[in-house]
Amino acid sequence: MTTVLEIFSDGLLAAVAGIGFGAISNPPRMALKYCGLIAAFGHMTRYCMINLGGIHIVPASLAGAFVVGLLAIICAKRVKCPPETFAFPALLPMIPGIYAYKTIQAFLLALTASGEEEFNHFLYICQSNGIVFFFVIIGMAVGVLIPIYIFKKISFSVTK
Amino acid sequence: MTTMTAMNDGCAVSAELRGDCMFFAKYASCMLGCAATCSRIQKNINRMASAGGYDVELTILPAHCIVTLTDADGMSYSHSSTIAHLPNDYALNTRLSNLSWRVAEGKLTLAEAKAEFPKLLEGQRYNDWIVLLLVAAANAAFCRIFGGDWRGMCIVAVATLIGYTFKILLTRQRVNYMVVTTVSAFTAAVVGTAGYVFDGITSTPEVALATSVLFLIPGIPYINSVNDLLTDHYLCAFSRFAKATIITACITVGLTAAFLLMKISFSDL
Repeated sequence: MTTVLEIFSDGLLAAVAGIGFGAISNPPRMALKYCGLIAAFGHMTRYCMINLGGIHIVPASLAGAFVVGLLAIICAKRVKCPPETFAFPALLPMIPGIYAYKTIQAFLLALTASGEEEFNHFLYICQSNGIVFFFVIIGMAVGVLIPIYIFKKISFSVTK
Repeated sequence: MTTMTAMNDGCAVSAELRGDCMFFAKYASCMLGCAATCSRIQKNINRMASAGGYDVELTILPAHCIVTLTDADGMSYSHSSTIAHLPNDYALNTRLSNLSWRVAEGKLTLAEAKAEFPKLLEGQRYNDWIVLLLVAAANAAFCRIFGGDWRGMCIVAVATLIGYTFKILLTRQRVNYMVVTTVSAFTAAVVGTAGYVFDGITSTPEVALATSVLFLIPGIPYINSVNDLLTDHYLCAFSRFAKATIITACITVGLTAAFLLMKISFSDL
């Protein structure tokens, strides 16, 4: 029961994040609620895979993004907006932002390192965060694009 | 948005061909500016050009796009347009995509589309202050996702409210986006250190601090860049990735400055 609650709680928080960060990109008013809904399902998928399946964040993000892409196609048909309108804002809660700035922060701090050991430590943090960030972003983009290109005809003609 | 016209074969070119080419260049520049993917822009322009009886070539460079239009008589014309500096706008993307379909289906002529185009650019955005509240709630939710407690969420919400307010006000003053990002990250991070400054206020000060600047992460440009990379638009992919990386670097500079001011060690994060 607790696990189910945790999963739904993760989905709810992701929905709030999807709507909030999505609003910055000015989606059509009709589309905003779907951004939240899709973000919730995508993030719950990733949460379950990481926490219940013990799967690494990269394939889990790919699977989460795939779900986001599929749902975005369905919503695109309903609201007559490009699927990116829903999919990209819905992916924002999955963007590994902390990894991104830790990469650059460690890169900058390597400059101030006083010795080889400290320098190697910062370089390690820079590389490990950078690699995870890079592959998560690639995985997310691939995951969301697969359904968009499988259903290419729908994706590029929904705004008719 | 400034535009520049390239020369064609030296023969007289009809005003219609020239006007249509300039329209397509401006259309592409606005689509690029509002964060549409290159593949969508390409399809939209091809669709409209086919309806007008043209062949079209679109070249997308980091700061410009060039459209070369060839009519049925083999006359061609090129026009270069500077990519419009617009905020991400999916409503505009939707309106412009819809315009391309109406032209393709014969509901609009190219001349009517050209006349309607400036009106489509003037669509309303969400009120800045409503977006501010939504972003604050979103960032607080992010803090919770990363394991922050309720007090940590409150710190992040306040940090976001202050940081995003700086972003709105500085953007309105047309301050450079790098300065805007650095200042916003700095102010949000200074507030985000509240968990360290007021000892015991939250049990997860590191999460509150780390998530306080996440609302500035350029997620859409990162996703767009990989999207363009996978659809063979390498130049645009790298330019979008470079801009997103610069914004991330500015966030880091603001965050690091806050660390130094508040005497917080990197290892605390």
